[in-house]
Amino acid sequence: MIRYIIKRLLWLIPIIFCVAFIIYALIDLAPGTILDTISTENLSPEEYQQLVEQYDLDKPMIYRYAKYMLNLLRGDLGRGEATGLDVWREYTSRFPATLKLAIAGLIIGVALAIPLGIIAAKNAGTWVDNLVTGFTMIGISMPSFCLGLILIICFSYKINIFPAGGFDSGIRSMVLPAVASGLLMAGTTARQTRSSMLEVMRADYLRTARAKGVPEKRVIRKHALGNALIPIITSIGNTLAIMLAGSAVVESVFSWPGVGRLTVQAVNSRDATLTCGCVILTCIVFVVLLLIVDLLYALVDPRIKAQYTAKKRKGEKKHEKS
Amino acid sequence: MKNPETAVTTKKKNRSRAGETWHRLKKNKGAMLGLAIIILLVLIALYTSIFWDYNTMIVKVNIPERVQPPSPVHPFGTDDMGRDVLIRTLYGTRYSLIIGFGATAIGLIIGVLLGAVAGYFGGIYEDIIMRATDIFASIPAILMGMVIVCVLGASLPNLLIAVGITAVPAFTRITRSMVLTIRNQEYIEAAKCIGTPNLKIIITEVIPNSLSPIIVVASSRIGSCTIQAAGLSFLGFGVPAPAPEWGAMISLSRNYIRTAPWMTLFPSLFIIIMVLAFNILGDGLRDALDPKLKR
Repeated sequence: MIRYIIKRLLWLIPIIFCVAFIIYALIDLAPGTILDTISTENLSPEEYQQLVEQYDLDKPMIYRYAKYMLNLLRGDLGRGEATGLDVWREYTSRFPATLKLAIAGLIIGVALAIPLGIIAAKNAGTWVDNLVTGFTMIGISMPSFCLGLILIICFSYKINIFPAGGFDSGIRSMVLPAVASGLLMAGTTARQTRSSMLEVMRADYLRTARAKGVPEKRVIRKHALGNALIPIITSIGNTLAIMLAGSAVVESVFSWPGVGRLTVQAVNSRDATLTCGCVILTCIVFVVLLLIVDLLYALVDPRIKAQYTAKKRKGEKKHEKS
Repeated sequence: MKNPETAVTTKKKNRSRAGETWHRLKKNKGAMLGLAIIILLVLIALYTSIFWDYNTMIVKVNIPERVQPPSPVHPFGTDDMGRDVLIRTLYGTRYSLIIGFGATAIGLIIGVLLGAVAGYFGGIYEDIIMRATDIFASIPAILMGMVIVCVLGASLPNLLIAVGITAVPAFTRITRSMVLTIRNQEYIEAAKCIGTPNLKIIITEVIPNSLSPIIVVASSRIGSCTIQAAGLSFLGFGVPAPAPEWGAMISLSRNYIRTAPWMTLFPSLFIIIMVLAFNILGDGLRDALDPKLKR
């Protein structure tokens, strides 16, 4: 088990190198440089030259990349070229906002999705099922910014209960963005819950449980849901990862000061260092989150836990596909 | 897996594989509704592209009529430049359709080829392709899209490329896993024995026989590609300003959201309807292609 975790974490290193190279090279290829963002109109040619040298713009891209990577090896993500602020500090100061939003969305999503999915599966084929399936279908078909803006129109302008954006009014300003990301998560998760519950519903052990007189509620909660949980967890984990990583859209709708908006700003100002830092850190969050999801399986399902130990005994070759 | 022989069951009529799928799909009312909506949207896109003039009807500024609420003359109201929101929204159908189909096609072609090569040859090819796919997939799609559009410049073809590339890993993975299951089938061996070149085996034997899960992935991808492209446009990394791409229209409308919500609502409604149609059709297609999965 621990060997597996270490292996997965070591796999992060090549990922970081390649991701950094891809992003750095791409931003470098992009038309325009950081000097277009900083105003250079009032500078004398000497001062301009000094700036060019400061950012090594006269040297080839590979030189800047090598320099960047050497710093990265020392754990230094560099300073944003436009802002001059430390990338690591900037990212970590923004990250809690994104995390808060994701967790609030997760809670709303899961609280809504799992009961809905169970209800749909229990009444499979009836109008209840069709209603829930329709609702979740709309949920997965709605881009987050459409939902966000519709919520703003309804609840900030038509009825003024929640602020339209920003971070200032505490928990009240969190409601709309959390609902926007939560509802989207609810769509995917409810669908997954429904389909994996349906699969389990036909299993013999449920019939056994009912036959020996276990109350229906307990059959559903313990026996059915327990066994249907793995695909549901995968789905929640993936959606959470996407929510954290793809927060750019929701965050710009609600002017939420998270890492997504930071990344958008970084790309827009052609700031290679800041963009690279943001993408690398987001990738790490993404990969670690997926690893946690993998490990959660073992927690939920003793069979998988047994597999880890059994494979350890055999030696190697585990999880080729992951 | 299912090769044509087993898919055509002993029914009264011997239908082809596609015919059988179509027959099952026809029974699914939701999927048919989705298909009807998509056909309608395609017709709208064709009609508006042929008969409407971009310069006079779509982007021409008409300041006296700016920001009017919905009325019989302008059923969806007008925007900040006095342009009719209905006309612009209808015209915008073409962008989303092109992006939905085009980006999925790009992802499909590249992904299926890579996946087939990885699965069929195995060994070093497989290692390189799959590791590269892993690395690629660990960059969140929206960030990758942003960076690619930033490099290539904001335009429709570039948005297509950006969204298409981010769709590649999903296709690579599903194709590879399908190919792994059929790689050792007898008909592949037979093809090898009679000296068919590898590339030909991949194209004529391997890919056709692993098609149905690929179609399922593709049909659900169209919707998510549309969402992703609209999101990128919304962030300003998409089709540039005067063009009535839905995401871009919504992005522009944000400044007027308090006074003119119709500018946001109607394009949003169209995005949701289009993605919904693709998704229910995709669901129906999945059920039709794989009867075992059926509820």
